[in-house]
Amino acid sequence: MNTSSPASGIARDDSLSLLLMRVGQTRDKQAFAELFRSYAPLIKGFAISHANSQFPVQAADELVQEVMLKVWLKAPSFEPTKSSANTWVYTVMRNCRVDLMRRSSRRDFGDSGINVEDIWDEAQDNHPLTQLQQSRNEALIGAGFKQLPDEQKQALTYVYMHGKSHSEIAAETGLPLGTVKSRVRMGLMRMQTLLKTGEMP
Amino acid sequence: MIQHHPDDNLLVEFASGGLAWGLCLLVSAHLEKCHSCKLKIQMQERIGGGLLCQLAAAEPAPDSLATLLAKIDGEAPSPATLLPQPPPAGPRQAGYPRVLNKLLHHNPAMKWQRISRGLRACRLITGQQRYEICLHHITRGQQVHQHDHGGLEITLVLQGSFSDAQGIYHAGDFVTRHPGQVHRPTASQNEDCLCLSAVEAPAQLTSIFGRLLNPFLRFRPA
Repeated sequence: MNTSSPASGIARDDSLSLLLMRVGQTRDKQAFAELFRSYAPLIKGFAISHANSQFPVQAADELVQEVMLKVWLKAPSFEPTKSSANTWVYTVMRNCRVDLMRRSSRRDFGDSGINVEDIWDEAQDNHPLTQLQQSRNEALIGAGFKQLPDEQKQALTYVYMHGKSHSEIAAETGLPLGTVKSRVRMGLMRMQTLLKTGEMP
Repeated sequence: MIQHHPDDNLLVEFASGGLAWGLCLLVSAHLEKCHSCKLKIQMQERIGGGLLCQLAAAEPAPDSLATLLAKIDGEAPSPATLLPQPPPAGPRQAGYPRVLNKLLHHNPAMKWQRISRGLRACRLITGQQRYEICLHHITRGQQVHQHDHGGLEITLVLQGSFSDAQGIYHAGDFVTRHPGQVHRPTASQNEDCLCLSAVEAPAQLTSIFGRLLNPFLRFRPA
């Protein structure tokens, strides 16, 4: 795999899922190193685009370490019938970022004993995908995203790639909250249709 | 049958990790009982997974993989640590969402306060400051004072049911009220109603008088 353009490996969705299964089932470190080369640059990119006052850009490499360690530890629980490697890594990454941000506020407001695994409880994700087709359509998301109207693309970029709440987006863009909400909803609807039917509405 | 759900905007904030921690607790508790919202979250997470490759990649620190492999060799965690942990012992109630039971476990000294006739509240420590997270108990048949709120108010019905001018809400229902939506909840006649609620910190508390009148605005985030 070409490490200088790591995103090129992502389109090969199935091969990453296979690697993740190998890591989970046989604790294969070579497979893990391959996963690292595919995902670490994206995780670092994610961390940089999510940087804010609670989550400084200097924490980017820390996030890479945390996410990839979690990937190693949790790989045995990966079930390809429930999600692709990309989605699974996305949720691990999201949880690690929230966890890193929570650490500073826990110092300020006390520990409630609830951690990210309690909030996004994987044990409850007991709904296998009803259509295998949906999993394959995931690969279309990237291309479909590019076809969205600019305003919806921007809204979903803020949501997914910057991890912003709608009110933060409204504050940053100067748009009314209602406008942000409707743009996000419309963008989501088109992406969902794409996932279900494989075709852009 | 759950009739009232978080809207898609709130769900996608949850799925993408942008939602305030206090509200995450309530959404998580709702999801535990709500299959349809759970499916929506899975769909939204898949969009997140699909958008991964849209991120601008950045080269990790040169020693990153070697550091990690050394860490993995050092730790060698036993498979047992990977299994889901059993719920903690402590004050918990059958039928409550797991996340609430865990929260109750860390709030052993629960102090119920009488707010008004038929209404009691117990503030929970949740490690955040934007939302006041409380259990509210309304005695059967009792009506809560009419109130507005300075910010968002979300109520998750845990047991029993209550109604207001907009509808009737049963266990599992996720009721969202925005500022300006004045309401006057009444518990149903046959059963006490228990709710988990999150009330946003008002940007400004306008008057002492208003605060005294408003039982939901005695704001003390934790």
